[in-house]
Amino acid sequence: MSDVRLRLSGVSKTFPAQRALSGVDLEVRAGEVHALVGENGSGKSTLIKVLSGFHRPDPGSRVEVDGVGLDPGNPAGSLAAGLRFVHQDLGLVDELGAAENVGLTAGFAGKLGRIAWRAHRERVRHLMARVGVEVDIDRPAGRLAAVERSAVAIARALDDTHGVPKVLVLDEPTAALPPAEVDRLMQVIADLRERGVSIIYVSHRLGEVLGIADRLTVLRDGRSFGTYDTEGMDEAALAELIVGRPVAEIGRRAHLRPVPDAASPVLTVADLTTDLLRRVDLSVHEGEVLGIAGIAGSGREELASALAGALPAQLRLTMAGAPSETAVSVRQARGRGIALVLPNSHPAAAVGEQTVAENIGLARPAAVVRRGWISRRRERDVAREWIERLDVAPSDPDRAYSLLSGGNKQKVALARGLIGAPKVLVLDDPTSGVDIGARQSIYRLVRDLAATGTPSIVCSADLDDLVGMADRVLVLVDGQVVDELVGDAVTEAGLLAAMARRRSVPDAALAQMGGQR
Amino acid sequence: MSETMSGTTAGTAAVTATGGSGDSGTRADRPRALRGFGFGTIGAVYVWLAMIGLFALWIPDLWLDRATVTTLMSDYSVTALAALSLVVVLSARLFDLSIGSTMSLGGVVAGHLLATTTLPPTLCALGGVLAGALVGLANAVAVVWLRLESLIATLGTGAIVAAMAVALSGDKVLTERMSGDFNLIAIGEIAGINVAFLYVIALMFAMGLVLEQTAAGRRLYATGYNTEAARLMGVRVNRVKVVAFMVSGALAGFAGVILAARLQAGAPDAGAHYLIPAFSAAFLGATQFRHGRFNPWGAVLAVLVIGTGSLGLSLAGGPAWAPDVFSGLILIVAVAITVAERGPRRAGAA
Repeated sequence: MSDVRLRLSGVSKTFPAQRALSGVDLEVRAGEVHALVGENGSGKSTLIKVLSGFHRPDPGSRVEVDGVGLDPGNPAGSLAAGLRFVHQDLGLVDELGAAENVGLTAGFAGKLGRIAWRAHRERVRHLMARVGVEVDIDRPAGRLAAVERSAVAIARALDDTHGVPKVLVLDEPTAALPPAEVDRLMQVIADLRERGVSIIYVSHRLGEVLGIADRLTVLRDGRSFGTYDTEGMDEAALAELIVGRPVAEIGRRAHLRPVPDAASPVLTVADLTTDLLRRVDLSVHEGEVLGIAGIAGSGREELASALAGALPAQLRLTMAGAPSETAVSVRQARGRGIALVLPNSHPAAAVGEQTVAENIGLARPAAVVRRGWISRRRERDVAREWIERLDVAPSDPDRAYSLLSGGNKQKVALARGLIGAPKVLVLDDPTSGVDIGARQSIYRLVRDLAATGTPSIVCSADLDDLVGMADRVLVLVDGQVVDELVGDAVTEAGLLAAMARRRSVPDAALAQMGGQR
Repeated sequence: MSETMSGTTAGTAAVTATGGSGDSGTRADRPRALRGFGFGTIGAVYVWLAMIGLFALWIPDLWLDRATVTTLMSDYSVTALAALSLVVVLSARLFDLSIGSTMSLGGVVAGHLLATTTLPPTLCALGGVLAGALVGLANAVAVVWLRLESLIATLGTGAIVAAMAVALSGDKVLTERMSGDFNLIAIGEIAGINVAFLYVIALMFAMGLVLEQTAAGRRLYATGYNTEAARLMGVRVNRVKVVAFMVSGALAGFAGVILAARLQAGAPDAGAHYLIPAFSAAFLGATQFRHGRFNPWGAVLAVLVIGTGSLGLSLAGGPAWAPDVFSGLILIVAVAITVAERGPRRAGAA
């Protein structure tokens, strides 16, 4: 039971300008799920890359699998030692099916370069069976449900052509999963544990970590802060371990506003229709945070972009004191004061190659242009104001946006939304890949904005976001609003129940829709 | 690196998350002022100086001559104009493979107007520039409205434009009224400096200002880096692309006019030769000054490097094909440098 499968001792990694890991120790037992937790920048990613052989650690770092030392910084060595990885983006080729996706990394069965398709497909089916999720292995990965894609990636990692898999590292495996599919993945993980596979589970989602992991190791500032049994630990205690100070509980806040006066909405939308949404009506009032919940494929993922004109949509949009419109372009929506903030992981959230200052300036050129010319100094000063206000680190306006961590990218994206003094702030998945500290400051920011009167619409796959921010939540199922939760009724359990309600289409079809998004 | 350094950089996210402990998180790099002179920023300047030194030792008599400088300035001004025209479109991440043909057309249109009308030479030259702008518009139509990849679209328009240049000229080299005033547009001198070279310098400064110091420039770069992100910030990305193509086309037409004026001949295939050097210069230029961003200063510097190398090689008795090999190599090396510069940064960012 307590055999040590993987042992890291004194693992350090120094980059030219920074020390990412200093003397990390980690022991993973055979057949356990071991969570690795820490804030963005705490060294989790670097540690995984050391294990996978992508980074060569500093001399003196030791990595042992079953007591045998391996040469770290050598991908082939890691593979042969049985270390396997499923990265957050899964790395699947969307156009190819499971059979070919597995073949691309694990090799195809066959002789003299000719693929023995029957044998190969048999092998892939066997792998999928080990994972325990039934998937059509010829169906292009891009058309599978999210959890099926994860299963294919896990199956691929478990292939034993290059040695017996001993430790499976899952990096944020649920980040792209709708809540309804998370449980299936947890079942897959539990089954693998039963079969003796050790799993390193990396996640920002504290509830999941406590639910699935046997033990966990906390990384803080590149150091291992300690390893703990998850038994008896609650989210607040774990959050405190990660952040290093007591954290105000994520949950309902006492100061939520009463149900707003329905007579004076700031924004009213009627008959909003897109590919996924069907005649959705909604309105948001002064000082209100409106949440939008729904599983993948429910239309929740299109609502924010559709409101802001970023996605083709039919609607009747009325803003206080303005005539209604039947369609809006991005420019019209911006002109009306609707600011869209995309998730930082979205490719169009900001311009990665430009600096923080340029990105903020682009969102509101008028703030940095003097007599037709951009003032560099003004641009930097404006950026510094926002950096300070939103607590972006590093506080360097000249840093390329792409070099920031997820939480800081999100803050810059927010600054881009806020700089135009919007009438309505529309947020799409505002905390994906964002650590708990930054997450809290984003919650606070949105609440503070509401307190000054400016309403927000928060569309999120993460129920914590809705519970933490929203006064009122509309629940989408199959593109329609099926429920409205107000005030104290906004709880995780209530949301889950509402989101699972009234499935007019079979689960499989729903899952398929999820996979296409 | 020191322990404090690791504290600021490695722990940046942690610092934010914990509410910021007043840690400024400054860059660990050298001071900004010094950074400007590093090999990574202006490496081409050192390469250029080294080449000048090399040829000075190799062929001192031919090289250390005023004629070398004059030739370099006048011969390579056309290449520089072509490279500057590319900087505009490439900044929007659009390729324009038609610029060679557009240059030919510009020269032929000017020549045609000179031969068939009595318009003053400057207006004929303007005609060549306008023809270039129209080619740019055609490129924009293909890319923005028909949604073709710019590489494919401009390959196609380039072929058509080349054919138009041949048709308009009757497949002959146009020379009528090309000497005299028209010739002076390219070879005149102001204060002893070749005017074509002055155009290049003036254009370089003007473009630098617009690209770096105006909202239009920011929008152009933003459209190139991430069209969708720019669109969501309210940038009219299609308009940006149309303008970029038209400005670029007009500049290519201008380069063609200057070429024709200098040679006193509007040849239907004159521009083709400039395509590769112009791309080489634009890409090499992007590795200079602005780290991967296409910019006019870099493009002009790169033309000087390419010009010095090519001129030196031919003065040293190298074969006629040597300059082409040189600019082809420059293109590959320049792009390789850009890729190498990005690689480790990506890894560091992860």
